[in-house]
Amino acid sequence: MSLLRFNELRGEQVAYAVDRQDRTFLPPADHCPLDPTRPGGRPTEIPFPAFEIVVFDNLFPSFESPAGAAEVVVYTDDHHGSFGGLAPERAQALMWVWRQRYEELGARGDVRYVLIFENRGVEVGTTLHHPHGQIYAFPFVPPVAALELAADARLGGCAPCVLLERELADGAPRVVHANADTVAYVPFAARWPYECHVVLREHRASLVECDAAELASLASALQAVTRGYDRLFEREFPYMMVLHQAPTDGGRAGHLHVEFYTPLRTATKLKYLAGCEQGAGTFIMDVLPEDSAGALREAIAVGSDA
Amino acid sequence: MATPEEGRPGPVPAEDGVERYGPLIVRRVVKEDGRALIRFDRAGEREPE
Repeated sequence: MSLLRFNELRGEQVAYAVDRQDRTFLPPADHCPLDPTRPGGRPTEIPFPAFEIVVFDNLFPSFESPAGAAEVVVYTDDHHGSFGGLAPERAQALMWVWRQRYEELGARGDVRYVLIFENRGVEVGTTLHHPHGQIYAFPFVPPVAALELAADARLGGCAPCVLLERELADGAPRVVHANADTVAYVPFAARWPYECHVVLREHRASLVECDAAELASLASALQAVTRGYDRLFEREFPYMMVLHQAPTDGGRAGHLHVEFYTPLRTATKLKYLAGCEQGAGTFIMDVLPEDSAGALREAIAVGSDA
Repeated sequence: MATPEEGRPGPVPAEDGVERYGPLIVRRVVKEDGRALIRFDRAGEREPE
């Protein structure tokens, strides 16, 4: 059972889910709970011998009904796959799955914000290597979403729209990839060494407002970025991939975009959130966004030419 | 066309009682411990609209 406590000093909720202390932690490949259940084999979380995409209630939920939900999204039955390595058709199907879950969970009375994300790599806390993501349905609007709404007010309109326009101006030095419906860029004030935002060109509050072509473009852009990451240091690149969408508590603005938080600053060195980041809330960066954008743009382009 | 039940994932034919969402066929399952599971498969090309 999870519970919330309000941290008065920071003005934010903290979720306690003590059962998660016992969750499955980096099991051997032949004991992966996200593999399909083969005939005569060990039962897993997924009672099918093969599947495309499956979503199920997290056994160790951070949020649960009647105060939210926590779900696991399994991208493939291939234990050794990755989001970037999915066939384009499967990646597009995943966009529809995310869309369906946002729509259905967001319609619940106890859900005010739907967070869809993937943690990839032990460096960012992955406990299962099988390609998968998660969905947290919050019973409140979390701080980052609230900050984005405040940015809308500060900029006098949709903040992601304003920032995209800025990024496309003056030669777009931080843009790393673009297609018909999306633009990917390292933000002007990136907080991670190779942070990247993938933004819909048109204002779309959520996946629900996207048509099939836009979902296909989004899938293609996200895969291009993740493949570029893997190419950057010629290693499996850890990241947190987080969808930002409108809160689902009714009537509030938002602009669908996907943010990647990337802790590697070199092939072997991590950016840590240490005293200044944690204690002051100010990120200290070792690389300028224009420089990391140049490297990432090149890594993505190499893959596009292959 | 092979179905996932036959051990190969891929487009599946329509069945009665399943939902459709965009290009996906949606099947809902309740696991033995009561938790919900939703299976998403791409609809077959010959799937009627």
